[in-house]
Amino acid sequence: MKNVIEIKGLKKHFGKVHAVDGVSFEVKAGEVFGFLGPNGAGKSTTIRCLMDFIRPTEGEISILGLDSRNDSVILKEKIGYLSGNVRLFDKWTGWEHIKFVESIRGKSKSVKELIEKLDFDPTKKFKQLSSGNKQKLGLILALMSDPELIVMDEPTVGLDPLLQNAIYELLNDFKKKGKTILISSHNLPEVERLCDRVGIIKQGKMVAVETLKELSGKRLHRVEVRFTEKVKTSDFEFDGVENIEELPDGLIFSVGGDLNPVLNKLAKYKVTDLSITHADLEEVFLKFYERK
Amino acid sequence: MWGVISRYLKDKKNFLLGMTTGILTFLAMYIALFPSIKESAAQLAQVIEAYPDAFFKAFGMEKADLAFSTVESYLATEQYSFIWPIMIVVLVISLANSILASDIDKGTAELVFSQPISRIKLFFSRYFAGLIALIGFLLVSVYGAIPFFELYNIDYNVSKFNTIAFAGLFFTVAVYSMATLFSVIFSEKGKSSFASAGMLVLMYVLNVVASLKDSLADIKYVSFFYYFSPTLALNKGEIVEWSLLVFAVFSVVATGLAAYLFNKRDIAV
Repeated sequence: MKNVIEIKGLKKHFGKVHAVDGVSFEVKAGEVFGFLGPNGAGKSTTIRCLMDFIRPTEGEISILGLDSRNDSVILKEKIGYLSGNVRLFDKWTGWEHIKFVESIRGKSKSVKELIEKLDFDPTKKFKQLSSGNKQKLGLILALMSDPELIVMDEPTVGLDPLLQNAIYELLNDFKKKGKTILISSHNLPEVERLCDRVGIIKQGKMVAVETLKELSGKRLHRVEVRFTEKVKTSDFEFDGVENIEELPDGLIFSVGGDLNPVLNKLAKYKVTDLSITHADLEEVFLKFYERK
Repeated sequence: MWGVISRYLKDKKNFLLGMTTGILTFLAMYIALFPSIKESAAQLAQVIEAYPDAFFKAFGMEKADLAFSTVESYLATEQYSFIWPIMIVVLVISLANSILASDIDKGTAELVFSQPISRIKLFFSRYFAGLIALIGFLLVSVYGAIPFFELYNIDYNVSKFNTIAFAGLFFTVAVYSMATLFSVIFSEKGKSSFASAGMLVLMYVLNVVASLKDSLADIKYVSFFYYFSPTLALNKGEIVEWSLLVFAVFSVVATGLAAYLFNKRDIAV
């Protein structure tokens, strides 16, 4: 499968701040690539370099075999872009935004279908729209020219689950059409639902590029368990278990990867209460990548 | 390109209509008052005679300019040396801010810059759209006086109005180019407006200081207000020597630099 995006040794420094410091990865044709990282890790800076909003200090970005900067105009004809918390022209209606994009990109064949799918009212001015409807308009503008590549920077942040689902469905439709999607996020369930592969960025550096299956294998769980009797912490000190905290009647600890050894161990005790939750992505980063 | 130009003008339509209505209202008011002012010209001349010479120097005028014996000398002082430049500056700063600073300030830059249009094309589309608006305003604000002259049966010399329109165009484009440069350099409308307004106030003060102190006379050459003299244009139908060249060179350099920076700079919202 050929690469749609190739980023090699990308660096972007703002004075002494190294926002992106040597990032390299590829996105293959037809895949949904999740670009993950905590806030401030360098996701948006990388995407802005990709979109030629900001210029790299060092490194190369190739999209569809073209240079992201020198061939920016040709490439933008083929890219649909959406950022989280989309900000558009307050006094323009949805239609005016659509007409503006059409005046540059040409008449859209799919805009009416997108409006219907998202149940969006394009007659209202942007400032009159709720945050969800603002994001819907941003999505319509990004997708209305039927782009080959969709680049989204945390597109569902702050949206209600219904709208999140609508966006996921739209993206899945695009995926089925063979479009390539790069989506940045720090929402693990979203990434699990949409992505084929993920790249993880931390403090401006790429710490891993893995398939979703590989990432799931590294999933971190937080276990809180209470017993009828006193249990030694040392009983749970085995592979995959970390950060054990003692409670008066139980334990709290993190489990990386397979949960079964822990469940087998717990089965040997009388348990009064048990809670196993997914650690958030921030914890996954901290646990799995702190040594890198 | 036309899509960007028409959108720009549409966004500025209400503001332009407001400014044009405002300048025409001032013109109508001043011209309506002219017949009675002309009747009192002799008394006014006596009052003017009592003012110190330094007062007139500070405003770049001569006592004869305030004789108000013709509608041109009257409007040169009342309209084109005071209200008109202020409105031009307000308009210019607003139009220039819409070239970039406004987009970054409001966060709309990501929509605009994610479209397949080159930065240079985007810059010049917006620059020329602003220029069209400015030329329209300039023409209305100068030649809009003529219907009022006809209405009040006032004699006028159209060639002097041609002169101020011509000189005003070069002055306006130079100010617009400077404001455009500041709009591209700064990412905030407030900073960009402050820089443009501050620079013009500084130029005005330098011109006044140069006229008051002989040893500092040469600093007038760095001021736009030395090169643009509404009283000279309307009273005598003349333009300050070299002024068109100075304004033209400044406009080309400032616009070129703004286009270069617009193409080169990071657009971070």
